[in-house]
Amino acid sequence: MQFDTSSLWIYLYLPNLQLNIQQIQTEAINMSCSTDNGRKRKIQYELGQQQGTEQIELKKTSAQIIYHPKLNQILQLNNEAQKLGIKVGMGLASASILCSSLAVSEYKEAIALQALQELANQLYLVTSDIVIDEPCGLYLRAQNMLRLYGGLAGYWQVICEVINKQGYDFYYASAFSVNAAKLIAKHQQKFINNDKALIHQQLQQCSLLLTDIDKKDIERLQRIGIKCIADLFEQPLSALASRVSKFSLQIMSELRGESAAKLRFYQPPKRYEHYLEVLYDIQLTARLLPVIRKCLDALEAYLLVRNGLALSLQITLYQREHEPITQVINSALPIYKSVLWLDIITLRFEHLALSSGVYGINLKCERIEQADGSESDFFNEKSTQIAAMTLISRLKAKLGEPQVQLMQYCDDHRPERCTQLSAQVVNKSSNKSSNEGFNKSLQNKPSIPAHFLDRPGFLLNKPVQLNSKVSIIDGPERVASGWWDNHMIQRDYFLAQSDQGQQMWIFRTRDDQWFIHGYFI
Amino acid sequence: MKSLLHDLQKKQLVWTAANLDQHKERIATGYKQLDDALNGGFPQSGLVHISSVMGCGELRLVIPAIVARQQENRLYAFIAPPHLLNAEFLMAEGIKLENVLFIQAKTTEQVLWSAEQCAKSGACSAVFIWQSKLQQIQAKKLELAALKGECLSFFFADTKQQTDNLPVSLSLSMKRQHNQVEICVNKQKVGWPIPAFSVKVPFKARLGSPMRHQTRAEQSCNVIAFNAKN
Repeated sequence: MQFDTSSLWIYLYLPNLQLNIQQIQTEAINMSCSTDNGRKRKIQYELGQQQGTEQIELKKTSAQIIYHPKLNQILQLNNEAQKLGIKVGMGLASASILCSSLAVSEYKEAIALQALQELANQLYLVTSDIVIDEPCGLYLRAQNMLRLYGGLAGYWQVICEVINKQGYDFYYASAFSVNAAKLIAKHQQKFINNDKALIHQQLQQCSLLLTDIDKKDIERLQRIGIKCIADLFEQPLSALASRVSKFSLQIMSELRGESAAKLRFYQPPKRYEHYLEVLYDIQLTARLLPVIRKCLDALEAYLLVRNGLALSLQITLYQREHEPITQVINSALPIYKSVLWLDIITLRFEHLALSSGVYGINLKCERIEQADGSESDFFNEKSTQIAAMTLISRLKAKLGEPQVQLMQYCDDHRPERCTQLSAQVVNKSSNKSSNEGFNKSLQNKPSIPAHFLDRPGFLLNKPVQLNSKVSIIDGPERVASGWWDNHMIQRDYFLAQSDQGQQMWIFRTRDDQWFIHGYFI
Repeated sequence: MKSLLHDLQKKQLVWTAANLDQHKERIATGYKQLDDALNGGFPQSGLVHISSVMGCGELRLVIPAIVARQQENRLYAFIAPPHLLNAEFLMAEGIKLENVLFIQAKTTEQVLWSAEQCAKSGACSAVFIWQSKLQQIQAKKLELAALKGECLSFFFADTKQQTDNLPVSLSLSMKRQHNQVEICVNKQKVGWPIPAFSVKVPFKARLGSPMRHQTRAEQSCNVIAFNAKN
């Protein structure tokens, strides 16, 4: 989408995303172990051994770098690494000379991308137009939000709150052109202003090297004496047009505010998906549940603001040495609360056997149901309805989906055919609207008694041969049916009673064999 | 001695006639003799133990009471019955099939877990289980769950091998003698055990063959009933 050059943009620059994520995770470990550590420290203190505590502190403040093996460059580093003299763009060899105990992790673009998406998701709740600039930035279109928040300061405060919650290092800049905002932010500025003159002044100080212009083109520009942004602004674009590529020209004209950028705005996904890497491998399902609870809490927050409910979740557990396990967990009633979901999941996971440690959990919710505002009466039968749905979800989670069934009556004279079991739970309220037709005609009938009043409560799965002596109470009743679908039967049914007082339903086939088909319970 | 009695009373282990008021609301069974014996009918909630040979009318004895008490579309849970339930029978007894929950549990443990969950959820008005034997603690659990969820749980045992000291609300044993059913109240919470008496548990109609229900036969849309004797 193309925009005029007069709207205000903010660029968020997050250079150390992967490093930040790792730091946050280690902090979380420390937090969870803090009670343990506290105890240890106490003991150590009592013993007068201070070495241990020093070790822990050392561990906390070791130099960390994110390294890109293909480029052989260090991309991100923490303060400790900086103090040691390591710089961005260094090779691994020179970095390791500077520091022997360097914590190196490989650069993975996917991590940063996912974090950006999550951040965009969070920001989407407070601002409308977001563009993800891979791999480490976000554009926000501030212009159309200024009115809502009563000015830039108010808007920026709200945005800051959201980002600060994540705990990432970030730099930012505002400008009336997308590329200008990006360029200023890349200079690690924290600059928010909507004064054109000030922005221009800020832009003038920027270096050409950090723009998106092609490296070759920058070289060419330098050869003709354009070494900084100020130089670029002095020359008319037409003078440079023949010297640089089209792409670079476009960026230059955007920087000057002469043309507008083409951007694709971020659209939050309709479905929910969240991947969580566990800090250490977990092999016990009981240990896994608190982690899942965390995922569910995130889901709850997500659903709550969208007024949504979930009917089915898909949880994938990635195992260290085995294939991932995928579990689909259904609820008969659409719910969003993490407690309720956890309840169902706990039951399901009781039988789950993990073959090796789980290192990652993926929670997916394909469809989000809209919470229906027009619930019927507050008191009327709602409580039992909800209780029934919750019960069915619980039972299905523990016993397995096919074990919990509802019964349906099928209009057939063959006794073994009239009872149909279906695992599908028909929601009574939705049923009224959607399943009109055949089902409805059946449901309306129960006021009329069923066709045959003397039918046994129990039917045997397969009729068994009658071996004992019985006395016939009543009969016969002939059932001859099914010649059209190759399950023909012709039987004469009798009610009979055995000496023990068992009343049963027996039949005689055409060739005079007797079978028990049911019991009158 | 007095203090012992006091202790027992405190633990609600001693029943006194003064408590009868609490159990005034009973569910009429539909059989007069049985109502008389049970002080008016089944309790509102709790675990009922019925021991009988399978197929002597044990379910037909209790279903009228269950159906009469059904008010707000609560569920009937049938947990692991020994054979398939027949939908036609349930419909004929006046049960709406959409309220029937049919649970096939594999192990006794699962059966009892399901029964407990169903009973205490408040979503079920009746729970039916078939087991040969229950332990004290299991019965107590089910009883408490039933009381909590205001549910009547029925525990059908095939024979009388169950000793009768289970903590249930009511324990009956049934035996069919020709066309009468002999019922013996082994234990009830509000009353004394009562020796055997006879109740007639009928079939709904003497025989429901299509020949005798000419008008009904028209309702089935895909099958035409022929007279068996031609």
